[in-house]
Amino acid sequence: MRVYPLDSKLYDNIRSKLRKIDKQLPQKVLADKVTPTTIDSLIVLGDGREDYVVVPLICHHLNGNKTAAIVKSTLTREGAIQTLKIIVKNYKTIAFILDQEKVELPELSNIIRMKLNEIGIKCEEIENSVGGRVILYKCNLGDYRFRFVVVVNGVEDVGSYSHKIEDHLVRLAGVTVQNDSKDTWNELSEEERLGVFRRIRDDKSVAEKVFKQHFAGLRLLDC
Amino acid sequence: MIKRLRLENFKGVVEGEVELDKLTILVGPNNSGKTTILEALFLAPNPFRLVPYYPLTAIELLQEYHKTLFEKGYTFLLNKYIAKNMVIKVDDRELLFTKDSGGGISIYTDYILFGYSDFIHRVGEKNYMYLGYLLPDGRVDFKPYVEYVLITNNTLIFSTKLVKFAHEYLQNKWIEILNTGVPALIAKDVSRFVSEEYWNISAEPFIAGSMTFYVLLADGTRIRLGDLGAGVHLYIVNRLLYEHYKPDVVLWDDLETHFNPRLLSHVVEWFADLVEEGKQVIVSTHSLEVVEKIISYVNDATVLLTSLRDGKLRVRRVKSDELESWAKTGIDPRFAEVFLL
Repeated sequence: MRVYPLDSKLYDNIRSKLRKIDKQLPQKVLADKVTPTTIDSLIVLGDGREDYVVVPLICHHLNGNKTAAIVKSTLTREGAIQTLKIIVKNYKTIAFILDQEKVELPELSNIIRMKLNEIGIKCEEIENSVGGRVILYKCNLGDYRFRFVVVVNGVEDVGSYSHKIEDHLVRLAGVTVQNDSKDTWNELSEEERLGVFRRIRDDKSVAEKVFKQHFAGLRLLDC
Repeated sequence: MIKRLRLENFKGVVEGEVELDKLTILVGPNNSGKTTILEALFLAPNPFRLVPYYPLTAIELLQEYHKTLFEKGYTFLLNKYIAKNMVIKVDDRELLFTKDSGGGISIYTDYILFGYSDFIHRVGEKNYMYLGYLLPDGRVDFKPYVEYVLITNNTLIFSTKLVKFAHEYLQNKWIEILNTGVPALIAKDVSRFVSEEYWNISAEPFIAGSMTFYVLLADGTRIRLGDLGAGVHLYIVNRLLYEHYKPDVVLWDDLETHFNPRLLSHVVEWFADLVEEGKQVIVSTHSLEVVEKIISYVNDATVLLTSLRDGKLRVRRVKSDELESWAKTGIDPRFAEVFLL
């Protein structure tokens, strides 16, 4: 699956980072030309930076014939849900990827449901997997029906007090987290970090073990 | 004011319609029809009128504008170079272009002037007045009176690519322009956003007696116009052209080119003045910064998002609050136009 950023800044962020991993990667991962009929899925990033790289790389391992639009709202985490009202009508399935941080998973699920209700989106949970880190909702906004997949970043046993995308990255890097996975990740050299991204690119089975919820959630965009 | 433009088989547009306002901003990706709209509006008043890009008629200027090497002719106007008929309709007045088997193109208008019944041609169901002929070798053929016909409000297109054609016109009309006092006013105006103090603009010899344009500095020294920054040069030339030609409608292609934000603000402020004077301004841009700037100066400016797919020109009128909410959402209309139109 290729991704099509809906904003020039996001496009540059993804493209410039992928290019550091491999000069040929942007062409393989990013779609440059789309028509409304070729895209029916959207990925909304609740958090940024490393998600810009990880999510397109995982998509790259999934169905190569499909393209999903990708967007990063100026509002972060569950706040990004507010923006769904504007963009929802073009897509059959929307994946929303956010960090768990310090919130318990059931509480985060309630917050998301509440945020959806606040903007008039009615939803019904139809699937819950990967220990509550992937939740599939059947939603409707007025007459418009769509599927909403929540993917929560974080690895329980990585030793970080707050869970986020860096939990997965440090696990892959094989380093021990002292306090916060983000700090540990940032302490790595750029070359070490690029090495981790290259492993995600090269080894699908390893990537799938570490980014279990992302593979599971993003696969739902294929239905 | 021009309110509506309809195109059939004009350049890349097989079909399309656009509604225009006092100040209209065309925004969209490359090849989305923005320049095509501006060029159609530029031709609409009369392809055979002389424009201040001396010594060319409007249609000849477009030929020069699109030329890649030394090729001549006007088939570039026709969709995919093969369409037989092409229409530019502005409000209720139509320009019809029909290609003959020899590769020449006849141009007609349904705006029939009183006393010109001898030039009426029946094309299909309608009567048209014959304006002139475009020869396959790039020459044009029309009767002398035709250059004075105005079918719609007069328009003038500005673009970086056209500056070189403007110099020759300005040189030929220089005494008319100089003695209005306008060059001095423009020089002072420009001094507000450059470090030097310009006192006037002049046409004088350069090296070996050849003429060129200068800005005169207060200390008596001169700087050749071509040696100024590209943005300042473009602005001065376009202002001179405007002040001399006084079109009803200003068309500006790729407004963001060469302008830093301060000079751009100045240009936009000038647009606001033009609109207040009852003129119409239509600009194309790729820059959302430009769009925001124009809206801040002219609240009721209309933003049109354009897209061209399979020859169909699609246009969406965008409200400023929509632009804001898209920005908040992380959607850039120039990237996401395919989903917004």
